Amino acid sequence: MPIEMAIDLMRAAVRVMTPLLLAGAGEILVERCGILNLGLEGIMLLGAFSGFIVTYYTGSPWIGVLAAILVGMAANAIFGFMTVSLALDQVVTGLALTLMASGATFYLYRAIFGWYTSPVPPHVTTVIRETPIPLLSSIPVIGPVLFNQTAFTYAALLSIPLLYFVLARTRVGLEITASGEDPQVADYLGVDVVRLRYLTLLAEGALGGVAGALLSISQYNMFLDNMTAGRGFIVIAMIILGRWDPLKMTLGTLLFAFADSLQLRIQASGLLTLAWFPYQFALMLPYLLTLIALVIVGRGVKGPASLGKPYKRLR
Amino acid sequence: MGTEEVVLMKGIVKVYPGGVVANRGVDFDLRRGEIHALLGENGAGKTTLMKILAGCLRPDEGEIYVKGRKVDIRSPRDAMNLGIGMVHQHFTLIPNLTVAENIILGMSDLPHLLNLEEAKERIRELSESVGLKVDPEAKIDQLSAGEKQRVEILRLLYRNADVLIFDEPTSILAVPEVEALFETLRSMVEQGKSVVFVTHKMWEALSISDRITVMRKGRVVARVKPEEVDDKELVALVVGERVAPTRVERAKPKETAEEILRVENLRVEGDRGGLAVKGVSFTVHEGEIFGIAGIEGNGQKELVEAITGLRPVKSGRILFIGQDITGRSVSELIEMGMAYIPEERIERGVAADLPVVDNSALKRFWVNPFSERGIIKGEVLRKFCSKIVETFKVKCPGIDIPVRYLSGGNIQRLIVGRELSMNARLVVAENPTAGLDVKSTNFVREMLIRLRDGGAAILLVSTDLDEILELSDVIGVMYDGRMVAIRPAGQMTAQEIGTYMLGGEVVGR
Amino acid sequence: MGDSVDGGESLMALRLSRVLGSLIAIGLALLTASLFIGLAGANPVRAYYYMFVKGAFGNSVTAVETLVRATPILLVSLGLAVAFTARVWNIGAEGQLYMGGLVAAWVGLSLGGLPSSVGLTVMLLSSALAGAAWALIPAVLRAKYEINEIFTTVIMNYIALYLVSYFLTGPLRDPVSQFPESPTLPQSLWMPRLVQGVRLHLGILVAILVITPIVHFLREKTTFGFRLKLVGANPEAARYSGTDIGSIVVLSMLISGLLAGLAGGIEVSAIQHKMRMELSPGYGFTGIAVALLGNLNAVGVLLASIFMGAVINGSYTMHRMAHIPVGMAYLIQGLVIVFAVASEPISERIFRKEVVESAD
Repeated sequence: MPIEMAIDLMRAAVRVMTPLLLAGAGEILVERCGILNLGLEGIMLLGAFSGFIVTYYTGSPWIGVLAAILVGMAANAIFGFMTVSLALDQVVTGLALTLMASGATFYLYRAIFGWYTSPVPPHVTTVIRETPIPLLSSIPVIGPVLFNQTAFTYAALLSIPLLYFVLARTRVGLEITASGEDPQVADYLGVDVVRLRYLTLLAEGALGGVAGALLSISQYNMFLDNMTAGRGFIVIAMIILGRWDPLKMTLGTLLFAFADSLQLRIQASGLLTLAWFPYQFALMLPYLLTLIALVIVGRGVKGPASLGKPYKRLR
Repeated sequence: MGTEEVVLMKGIVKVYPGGVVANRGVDFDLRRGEIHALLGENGAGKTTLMKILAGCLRPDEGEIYVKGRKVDIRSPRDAMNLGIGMVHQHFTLIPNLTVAENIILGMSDLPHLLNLEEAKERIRELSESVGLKVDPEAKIDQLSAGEKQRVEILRLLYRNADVLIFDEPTSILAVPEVEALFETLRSMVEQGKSVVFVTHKMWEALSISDRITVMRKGRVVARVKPEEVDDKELVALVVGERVAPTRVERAKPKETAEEILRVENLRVEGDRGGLAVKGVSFTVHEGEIFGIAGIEGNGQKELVEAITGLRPVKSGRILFIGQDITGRSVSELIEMGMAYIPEERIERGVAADLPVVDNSALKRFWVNPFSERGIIKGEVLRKFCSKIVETFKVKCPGIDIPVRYLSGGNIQRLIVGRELSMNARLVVAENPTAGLDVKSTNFVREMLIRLRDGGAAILLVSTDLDEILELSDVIGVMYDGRMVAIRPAGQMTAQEIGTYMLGGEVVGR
Repeated sequence: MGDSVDGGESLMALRLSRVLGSLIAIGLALLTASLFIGLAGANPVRAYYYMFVKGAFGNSVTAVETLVRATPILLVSLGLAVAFTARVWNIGAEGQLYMGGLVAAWVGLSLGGLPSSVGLTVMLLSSALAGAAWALIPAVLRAKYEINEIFTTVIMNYIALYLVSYFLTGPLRDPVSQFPESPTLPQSLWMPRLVQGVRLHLGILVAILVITPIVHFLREKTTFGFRLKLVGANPEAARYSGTDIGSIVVLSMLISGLLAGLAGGIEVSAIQHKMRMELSPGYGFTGIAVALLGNLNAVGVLLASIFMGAVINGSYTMHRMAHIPVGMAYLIQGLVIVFAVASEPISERIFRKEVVESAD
């Protein structure tokens, strides 16, 4: 019994980690290119909303995910226009975009579904099913945890080594790193910094959009106001903790996902019937752990040398 | 050696946005297989001309021919495609990447999947063929200045450049490294490459080049062969009719002058750990300009930061007006009367987004009469600022506009004005005229002298030897974190100072 | 021309260009929002008429309600303007506000028999201190360990909300209510109303007539305000002129926490008369938009808060009369902040044309 509970917990953690991993992969890409996108939270929220709405009306989660990708890319194109082309402050622009996403989804949800029309909130019925991988999924413990998940989890897990490879071994990865360290020098040597920044932003928009859509159509089956609940920011915190290394970032998101899955199980278990453990402390757990992790390993971390600095081309 | 012209520049004119005319119709030619020295003082327009050739700047007028073909060079990449590359004074390397990565970065024909092994192999071969030893797997920030320069050269060779431009390449090198660089240059021209050697040092031009083009004030004044001229003729060409700078002697004799600054056996750590200042001692008196000469990066920056309270002292003492100020806060030092004109003007000297009036009071706003009990007196501030703007001829449309709208020269006037208006006992000036036009340069120097004559002590740190010679009453030379020589001005020739700066020993002393 | 030293024309032009930028941002936001109003099947002109004329300023009652809405926003955004001036990105005002409200209710319910004025003062002071204390943690982490305050403040919002939820379902819960909320405060701790029949309470006047001028004075006239701007504009120059950056970071964060906490206390005392989970409809985030829209200047922030108060208050009338969902206020808020940020190059260009180029 305890073993089964542990497997179930780990399996849930991997599932909860999936959107964080996708969003994190995207954000690492743009941050390594020198851009701090605090709009990630907003991108995810827009992805969650558009993914949900389109799935709700088409009945196809795949079309929903596609919509989330397009919306995420569009939102990041706006971010790119403001921070890359207009060279506006990235922190302020990112926060503005997140607030915009929060306001827009809040309004549109009510515009589409009306104001508390039914006691049961609208939800999607066609969910994304697990695709167990033959053979591998029958390995004890590891099988159910890693190989009996949705295609998105596999994609997210694969995205990390892929990202690692792209950054370390490819021309575009080298040029991205150079643009994040010193865009002037990179530009001087013939790297098209502006193009790369837009490209990485579009990639992040797509990944962040999918990440959000997974929250609404795969984890909750519905849309809730501000349902990303700070995950966009937490992912960025995990990137800082992981020193912009995709593998270390994965560990950070796993910590959050594990705590999040654990708290759900604590709530569901009989533990809470004992008066001494209020459910709010369970809900608090993932945030508290992230904060503690930041305090312990997040001190004085230095990122890519030009992270967050607007780059104005002189020539 | 052929006489075929690989580069021909005709009638080049370049005016910077600020109005400074750097090139006034310059003709220049480079032949295959030669080392061509471009000689002139700071500000003669040499670097501008070469930056135009390397695609970093666009000329306002003029034509460029490369290998007989008229070309339009719009970017460094265009220049590279024509086989032209430049080694700048400031490195264009990315510290966090390896040597190999830096060398291949940005090449237009780079495959999407990097083959770093192959690149490293080619870099090793290249470095052997021209005698430039460097480890392709090392990270740039672990390398010395000389090694970084080798990486820059290798990068050009890796891209098959056959016209190599060097901008003051020896300024960051120690003496043995200079010899090695010259060897490399010679071996490169033997392989059929052509080299432009930009320098303001005569002996370099004479010893390395096949031909010398002399520039002065944006014009070419002579094209000579080294064997046809001697030192004196060349000096006359470089300096022109101008008489050697006459120093204004100090008013007060040193004997009775009060000691303002005393530095005793000072040790200061550098940014990357390790000592940057390794036991420096000297004194500066009132009415005296103490000039510190030295090549950039020999501990001057750390010394200045320690004196101004911006960097902790490892050991030793600093006395200012008789008080030990080691470990005191910056604001205490300011209140005691220490002024500081930093080299990084925009980065450190001003807050670019704040108005001129705020910036003029950056070092005073918390003391009487600018504020009382934490409340700022706006009118006093405005009057103070207006006076600085007037006295120091800061051109600005209004004192409430953000400083970033001012030109570099005017920002420096504002800073100089601010620092000199605080009745300082000590002024620390770090390359105070770097990047300024002639008018502003003269203005700043006059102000420093006027202040000295008013009784202030001035610590002038400059990499411009002429500036040191023109202004200083006492000259100290820093090399490798040490003060290798201190002597009254006039008792040390420019050659001697230069030798000390490069870590050499002066015979007979 | 050239060496002119003017008596403030350039300052006027600079301020005017910024005000114009904010007005353009509001205009573009309302224009964009009108597309959504149109999509919802209403006439935008009529909808805005309901929002601003009927709903927000139609008569004295609605105008007062606009101020009721604007007050917590004003307090929060004044504090955020102080922090943002030093480029300290406090995103945690919402949590600080909730902690202020929680402590206000707790202190208020524990105070027995004190005279109204003393009790109110103690209660509001403790709410402000609670907000400041909640802000102190991220402030110290940033100043001492260089941990980015954006992430810590965001995280602490959630911790605060769950903490409040715990107290309202546990120790501080009203035993007779079905909702998670505290018992009602004794009437002596209700913020006095100044006019019969409308909710014009003392806190509104204090916020507009006392705290706004204080923040204005602090930012524009004191050495502390000077240092705030200096740290925000160029930390390196601040260090070089003898400013201790760490203490400025901590102080600016404390001030923003103080005002956010006070906003929570005033909401509890004047509006809700008890602590509830629904204390704030996101005033802590609206404050971010308002601080930026007001160009971080106290007067600008005051005007921007009244604008946002009007939008939120008017959105109910708009909802009732034109059947536009209530969330329209948040859509407008989101659009306003994006356009406010994007309008910077526009006001820059206006200023450059007016002052810099005409001077040559």
